[in-house]
Amino acid sequence: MSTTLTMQNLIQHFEDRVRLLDRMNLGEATGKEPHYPQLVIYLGKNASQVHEGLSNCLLQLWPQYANELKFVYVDHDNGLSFREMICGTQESQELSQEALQELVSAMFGTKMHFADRSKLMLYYLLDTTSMTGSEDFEAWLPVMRSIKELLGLESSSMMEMLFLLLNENITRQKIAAQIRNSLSKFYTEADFRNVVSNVMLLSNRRSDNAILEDWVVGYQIVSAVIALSNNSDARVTGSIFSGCVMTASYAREEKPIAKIGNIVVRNMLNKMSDNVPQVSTELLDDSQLPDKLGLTKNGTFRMLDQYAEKNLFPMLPTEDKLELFPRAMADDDIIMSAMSARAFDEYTMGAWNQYLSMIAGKAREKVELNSAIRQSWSDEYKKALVSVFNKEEIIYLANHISDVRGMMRKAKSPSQDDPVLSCAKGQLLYNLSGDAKLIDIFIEALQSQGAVAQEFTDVWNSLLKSRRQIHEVRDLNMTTFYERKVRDYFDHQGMEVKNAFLKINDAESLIQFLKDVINSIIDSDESFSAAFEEELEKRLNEDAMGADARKYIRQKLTGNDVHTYLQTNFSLDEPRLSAILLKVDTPLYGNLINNLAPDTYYYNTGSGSAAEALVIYQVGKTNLVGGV
Amino acid sequence: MKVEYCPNDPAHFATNLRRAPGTRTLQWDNTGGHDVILVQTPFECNAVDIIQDICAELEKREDLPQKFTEISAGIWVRLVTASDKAKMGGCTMNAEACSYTVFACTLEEGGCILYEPQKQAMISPHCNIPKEVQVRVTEDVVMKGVFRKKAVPTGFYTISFGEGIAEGYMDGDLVYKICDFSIPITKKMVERRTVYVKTPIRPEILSTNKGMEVK
Repeated sequence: MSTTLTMQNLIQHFEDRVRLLDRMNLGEATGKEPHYPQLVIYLGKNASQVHEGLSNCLLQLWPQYANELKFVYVDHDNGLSFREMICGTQESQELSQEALQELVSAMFGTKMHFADRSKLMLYYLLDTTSMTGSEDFEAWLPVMRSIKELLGLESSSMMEMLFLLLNENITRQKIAAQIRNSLSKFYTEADFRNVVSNVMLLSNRRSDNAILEDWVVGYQIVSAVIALSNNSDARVTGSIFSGCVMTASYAREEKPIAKIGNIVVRNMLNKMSDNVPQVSTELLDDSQLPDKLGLTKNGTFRMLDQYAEKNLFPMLPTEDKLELFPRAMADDDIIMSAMSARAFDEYTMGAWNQYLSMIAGKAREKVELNSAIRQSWSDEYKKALVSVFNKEEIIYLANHISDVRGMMRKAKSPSQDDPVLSCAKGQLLYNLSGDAKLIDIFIEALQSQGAVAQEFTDVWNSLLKSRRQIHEVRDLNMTTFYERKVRDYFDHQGMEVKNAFLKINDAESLIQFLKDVINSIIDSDESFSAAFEEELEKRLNEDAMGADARKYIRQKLTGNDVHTYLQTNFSLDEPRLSAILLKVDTPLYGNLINNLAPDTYYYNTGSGSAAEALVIYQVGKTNLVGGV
Repeated sequence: MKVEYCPNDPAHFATNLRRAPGTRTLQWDNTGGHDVILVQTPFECNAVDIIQDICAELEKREDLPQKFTEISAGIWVRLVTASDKAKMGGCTMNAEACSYTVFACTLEEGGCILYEPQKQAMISPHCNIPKEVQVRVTEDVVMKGVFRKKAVPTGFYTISFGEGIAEGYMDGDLVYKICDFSIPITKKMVERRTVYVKTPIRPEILSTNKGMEVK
């Protein structure tokens, strides 16, 4: 199995970890929850492509509702067909009409946690990107009508809103104008309003004429509007569900987690890349190599010797038993145990050496039949290898396996001139270490460890290369601040991290290790888990800018740079609703309360990782119609 | 030498390996005019099961041996050409107490191709050749007394091996056991025909080779 790891993966891990901490830091106080059961319906394929982003936004708001928020994709190319989309992914599964009805019915069940089951919030999402004219847009109206009929709910039991994502790219302006004209019928044709009574029109062409490349901000607005509208506060829902076409201005300020992750991961990898040792090309000539490979001075395998001492030496005959060996003559005067090994073997017509071979052969058969022994030797040998060689050396040895095999088969035969019994032990060790099949266990272990080390090295090298595929963060304040955080971490933990890094031998462990180091860096400084305004304050103070972080955020959320996501010919009316979505009872909340208009609505998200400002405007007919 | 092992091919078959009754000749059926390779293995070891190892060993050689040659422990191989077969009416066994397998083969420049034998229920390319051996164990005595009529044990037992055992015998095919202590019988001992063991207990002769039965 091949393992891949990129810098982007690690940055993603950093983001996930920081978000998790943000969530954990909420304590028991969670934010507001969805008041009514709700169903999001994507009309067509284009709309469904925002599902992953939208559902993740809603999950960040309401993580405890992961199984209760429902998303359905509908298509009408070959009759009505439905698919349920899985929260947080682009995966989906087919849904029959009956199953859709059951899905909606289950949302009113007692296992759900919605505070009020008197209404269903029905949110349609339609993206005009692939439409070729207003008729494509209008073709969805009967679909919405059919869905309502299929669900069978009374109109009083349902609150509905169509989010229309209007693609107004330069090349699509004519089609977009047709669709806007068509949408203006909302104000003149009751049939239209009977199908859907509220429309939130969001264009990718902002009020400042900027054209957005994707719908990221679009689904962030949708998420915020859903949160505000699925609310127990009638003042807010009344402002949103007021039977008109609306649009919104939107701003979001959050901790720049991805950028921080980029700086942290890049600096972490830079620090750790210095730790990779180099292999000596003279390794095979190293006089210590046989010892490191587990060979004794006699060239026998230490592990096999230990096995022989424990299991084979007891099988050697005593002096008395030597007398039982065969002789060519019935000669009673010979003292067998006094003979040299060579003389004894000759005297016994080769029976002695055959006896020793038989013992070694039986040991080999036993090992061949016992996979547990082989596995245990292999595991133990791999452990021994990684304790004395670094990964590069193991790869080098595995790539020079013929030389290593030759080294492993250089066991020295004991002197045959020694007394028979004292020579016997050495001979057994020699026989055992001379057995090619037994040696193969260790050769294969070395090759296997070499493959693991190679995979580790490949993954590590490709990870280092992947640094080049991601732009460096160019914010000097941010890079200076977080580079120092990483430097401080490695000043304190660097040696420990280095030692642990050098002990890792496989790619899977490397990935886990790097994630653990990232977690450890995050835990090492509270800036990483601070609420976003605190993080910004620390960073700005660090830079001696003396700026007021809260004022800075307030201006970002409500200043002149906040744009409306629709360009209109005439000014929009007064806002129907001004809302801030943030964690309440924070210094930022206090600052905003004191400085913004008193009728601003504050939605408690419970999360200190971001703040959003949303202002909803009615779009009158005059701002919809235009030249085609 | 390059050695290729091909799947069964009816155009290159060799099977029905057997011992001609009352002789030491192996016979088989094969595609007319074709050569074969005979492989001798330990008793009940089928060469087909270890053919990859055999091919690997043959590849280390320059040509196929024209007489039985040990290519690895207990594995012997020889080429029998179509003319050899015709002349000898088969091929003389190398040894008993072992197994043989016949493979059809074609010789090519710088190598040969061996063909996988066909699997048939009634006839087989493989045969086991058991061997009965006679080994006698007697207590060694000397005649003592006035008329040398009293047999007195010397403290030795003699082990006597029957004729023909040494042929194809491998060290350790037989062992003698005294209580729980087993000592291998070598080819040298068998060739000597009689050996002595100093023991008060009669040695028991046992076969470690399933193809060798002690009588």
